[in-house]
Amino acid sequence: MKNLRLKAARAALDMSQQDLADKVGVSRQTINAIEKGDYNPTIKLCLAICRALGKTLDELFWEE
Amino acid sequence: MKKKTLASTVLSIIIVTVVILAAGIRCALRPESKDFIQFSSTVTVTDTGIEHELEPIHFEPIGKKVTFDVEIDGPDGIDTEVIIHVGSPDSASIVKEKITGTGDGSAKIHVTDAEGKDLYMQFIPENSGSLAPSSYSLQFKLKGTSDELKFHSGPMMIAALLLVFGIYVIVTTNRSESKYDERQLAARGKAAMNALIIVMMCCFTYGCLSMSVENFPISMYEVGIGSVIVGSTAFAIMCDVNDAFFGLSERRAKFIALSWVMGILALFGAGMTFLGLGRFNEITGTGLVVGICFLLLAIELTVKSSIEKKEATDEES
Repeated sequence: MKNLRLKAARAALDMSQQDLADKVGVSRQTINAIEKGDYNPTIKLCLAICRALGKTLDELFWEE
Repeated sequence: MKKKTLASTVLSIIIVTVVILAAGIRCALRPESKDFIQFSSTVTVTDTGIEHELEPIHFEPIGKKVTFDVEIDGPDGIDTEVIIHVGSPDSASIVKEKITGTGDGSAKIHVTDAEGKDLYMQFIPENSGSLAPSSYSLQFKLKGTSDELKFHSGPMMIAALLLVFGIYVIVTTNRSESKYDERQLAARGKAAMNALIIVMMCCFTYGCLSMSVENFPISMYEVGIGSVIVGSTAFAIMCDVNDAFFGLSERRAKFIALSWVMGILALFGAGMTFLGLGRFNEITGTGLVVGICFLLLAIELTVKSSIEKKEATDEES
């Protein structure tokens, strides 16, 4: 399932996938795979992404 | 260094040490082989038999078991009896072997209890009936090999150097920080497992075919190198398809250029001998495999690179 909330949060901060990838220490393709729902990140990476985007885990990764 | 990393480093070092030392010792301890003895003699065929001046050859073997490889080249009509005496040329023979049709005759003669004894090898040529009276030349080649192993330091020196290099590579590889993220590491693990299966299948196929086909045309060396090259290429391609071949700070363009150059050079180099540069006369199997694998990798990397560029552009726009 696509993670549109992550994409929206990133776009809101005017960050490209590469910018976010550099900030959390992963490849651009990994961020792309998370947004497309092709890859389930570990909790460690989820936390790093949340910190980079100033969001909580619930806001980015919790499914209603 | 974490405990698990340290444990895998130590385990790798132990395995590499055992494998390299075992191979080195196996190569260093070889049977002592005497130099070739090569001589020729003229025999004269008469109406009553053969006249010759072949003297017994004296041997002092080192080990307990000795194998003599005897080759005799001469006219087809001469059979030669090879007799081995112990102690003196006049004593009773312990081994007798007849080499018939001397044209291109050879024999392996085994002496099982030779330690500390003087051996005398006597050659007695006989006319099998088809030769006209005349003089004929016989060429003899002898090689004696004993079962006693002698230590050769050369292979052990090479093994020691390889061991130092292997340990250095293991330690530096395990000590450095990973340049791949978690998704890439998982993809590389799967690719490594698949590549290992490919290598095993190559070796297994070779084993089955070489057992069922007599004089199998591919050597063990070619299969070993070929399997590793095919496995490595499969690993690289599988990793790159999953965006896990290049680390976080690696340059793709440099590697693509290198793969093209390596592939083209290997294909051309496969057909050239060191002295016969420019002549595409002999394509070696290993060179061909290396060339094809590098070219496949270069093509895949180039295609993937253009897809990657397009994706990055689409994402930005």
